[in-house]
This record gives sequence, C-alpha cells and structure tokens, in this order.
Amino acid sequence: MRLLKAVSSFFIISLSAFNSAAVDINVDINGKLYVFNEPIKLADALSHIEHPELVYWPDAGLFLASEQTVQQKHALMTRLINQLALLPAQSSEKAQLADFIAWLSGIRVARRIDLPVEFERARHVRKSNPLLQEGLFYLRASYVQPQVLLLGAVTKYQADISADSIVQAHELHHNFAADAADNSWAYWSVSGAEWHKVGIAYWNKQQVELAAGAMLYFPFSSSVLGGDSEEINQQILMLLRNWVR
Amino acid sequence: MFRFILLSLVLSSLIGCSGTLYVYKENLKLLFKSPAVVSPDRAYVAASQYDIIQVNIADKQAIMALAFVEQGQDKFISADNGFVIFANGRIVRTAGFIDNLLHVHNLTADPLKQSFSVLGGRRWQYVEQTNTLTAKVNSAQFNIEGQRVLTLLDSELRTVLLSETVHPENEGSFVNFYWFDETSGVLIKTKQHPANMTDAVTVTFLSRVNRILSVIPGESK
Repeated sequence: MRLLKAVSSFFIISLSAFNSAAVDINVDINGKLYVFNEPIKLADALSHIEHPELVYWPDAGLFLASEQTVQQKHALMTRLINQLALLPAQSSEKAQLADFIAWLSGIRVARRIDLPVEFERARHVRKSNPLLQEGLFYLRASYVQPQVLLLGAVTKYQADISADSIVQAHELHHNFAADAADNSWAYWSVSGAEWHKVGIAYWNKQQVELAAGAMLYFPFSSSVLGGDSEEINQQILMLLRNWVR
Repeated sequence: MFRFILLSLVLSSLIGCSGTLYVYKENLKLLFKSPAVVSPDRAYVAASQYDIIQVNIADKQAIMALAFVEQGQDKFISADNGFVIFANGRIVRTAGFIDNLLHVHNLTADPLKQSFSVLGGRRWQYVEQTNTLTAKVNSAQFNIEGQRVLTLLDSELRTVLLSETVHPENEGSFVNFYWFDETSGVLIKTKQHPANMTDAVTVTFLSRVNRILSVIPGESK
C-alpha cells in the first residue's frame, strides 16, 4: 500500500510538473521582467544578474507576489491613518507619521521566501535552488550603496557612509530621529529579513556598528501610536521584511 | 519489482535533469572521500581534476575544490557544500557555514590587487560584515618580511613572506600572512583572520604548489 502511494505521488509530481510547463513564470529581476514558459530554478534566474561580483549578497532576496501581504499593508495603513486622526493638528509628530504613511503607500510588498539567496550555493545545493513555478516572483540582488537606509520616524531617509567606515546606530538615532521616534530603541538589519533590537538611550546604549548597505528603523513612540505602539511597530517591521526594494 | 521500477524511474529522471552537474558532484565526492585527503601528497593533488586547497582551522583540516572562477574571484567548495571565496588571495566571503563572512567593503582599494613586491608599508582600511556580528572596521598595514623556505608536498619552496598587521577598531591586533612563490610571484599559502572565525584560517594552494614544482628541474613528477 505504501508502495502504491509512493508510485502515485511520483506520477502526481510528474503530472503537476507537466501542467506547470504550460504556465508563464514571471520573474522580476532587479526591476526587469523576464517571462519564462516553464518553471525555472533560482540559479537560472540568478544567471540574469549583471555584475554579480558587485552585488551586496547579504540583502539579496526572493519574493513571491502575495495578495495577503498587500492586504496586510493596507490594514496597517488603515490603522496608522486612524492613529493619525488622534494626533493634534499642526504637531510635528502628526506630520512625521503622515510622511511615513505616504512612504509606506508607495512601497511594493510581497511575501519573502525564507531562503538566503546565495549565488554560488544555488548552483550546487538543491535546497538552495528552489524551482520557481506559478506566480510573479521578485528577485532582488542589488549593488551596495554608500549609505545606511533610515526608516520610520526619521528626519532623513539615508545617511551617507564611505566603503571603509562604519557608523554607530545610536549616533544615527541622535542625528536623524524625528520627534515622533521612540527614544530608547531602534532596529537594525543587514538582510532585511531579520531585524535586531538595539538600545540607543543613555541607560541601555549598545554598540552596534553599521556599514554601507545596512538599514535602521526608528520606531514611533507610544505618544504617537498609543498603547499599542509596540504591536504596531512590530507590524511595520514585518512589512519591512516583505519590502521589495 | 515495483520498488525497482520506481527507483529506476526516479534515478533516471534525476540523472536526466542534472547531467553534467551530477557527474561533477560525483567527482567531487570521490575527491573528498579519497583516503589521501587526510594527508594529501603530490600524486593526490596531481590526479585531482579540480584545483584544490588545504584549509586548516585550529586542529581541523579540510580539502576544498575550485568550483568557479568568476570576475576575479576564486570560489572553493567543501565536502559539505560550504564555500570560501577569495579575491586576490584574501577571503572575502563564505557561505554555507554556521557563521559566515557576508561581505568585505572597500575591496577596490585592497593593496593585494597589486604585486606583493610593491606592498611594503602600504596601508588601507576595510569593513567586514558577518551574519553574527555588527560591522567591523579594520586598519591594516603591509610589511615585506623577507625570504622564507616552505616545505610543501614534501618539497622545499623559496617564498617571500608578506605580513598584514590588522587593527580592528576598539580591539587588539592580529597579523595575516601571505607566502608568495619567489620565482613566479604566485600566492601559495596564507594565514588569515576573517571576522566570522575565532581561529586563524591557514590555506595552502596545493594545485598551485604542484604546478610550480612541476616546472622546477628535479621536482617534476
């Protein structure tokens, strides 16, 4: 019986592979859309990356278009807009939250595939080389930029940094946090997939050195987001994880 | 019988799909499983279809094979599918290990891009990013230490030793070493401290050594 099940699963897999061959596979690779008439391996998609030696592989990512993720973004925006209405008119915090909502509305989100995009291992290791089938995929593998991206309650969206230097997270907070920012914590990331909490106040300051290509999120304070600020900031981080840059 | 048919179907589909890659990986498995991998001699190195290196970390040793040469980077693979990637002899990235060196910033300014003979006194600064630590900035200075004789693959080779004293910010210092074949200028051995490793990594470029020995009268085999 077990054998029969195994044989039938084999043919089901074969059949589904045959069926999917007729489906167009769309892969947006660094903003350029490629259409394949059969499922392709990640390694094949990666072969379309120009100048891979210049890519900042730590923040390369693979995403799948997802209505659910888009709906999560809309739900979050609604929640932020509701919060915006509670803030005093003409306050700087209100203007800063409005700026962030506007920024959020303009970003593309999709479901991040939980897999490091590794240029070499994709060509050698089966589990690093998934088959892309059905749907619209986004593959992002961009060159490192001489800046740290600043997100959330910020006065500036990036801090310039040279290739041979680093910058402390708490210094960036000191220089670029908006009035609406939480004064104790920030979140940093290299990959975009994982975000790490860092203390930036005098009482909890941690030494976190950031290099070009890193990202830093300044959460909004409870005076801006209310009693649910922790939860809302976590929802924002979840969305940033699914941000197709 | 059914089991045999099923297995045949699965195997034939696998071979049909992967083809050349399958043969390549089988050859790599044979290379890594050879008894000589423990103590590689010239016969083992010469018989390898792929350029190989010997990697020593603390008391551990491994052989890695050259998988790709791309855009000036040499990419070696281990038996367990880990990658170590070199640019101009420097370890610039690793993949597939628990702790990895994700990126080295400022490589365009790496003095190792030039001939070792002009590097005495040269300084530079670079930043390492790992998956476990925040970024680490290093200031480094090169020094030509002079001639050294190395015994590799049971033969003596005259080399020039280049050192690179590295001062990570807010930490102590360490020294990377690079041994270049005196005649050809080829890097044949290096000892480095990439940020993802707690111990130094010593790499011997065995195939390069074998090629150098092959053209030395009395050493060719």
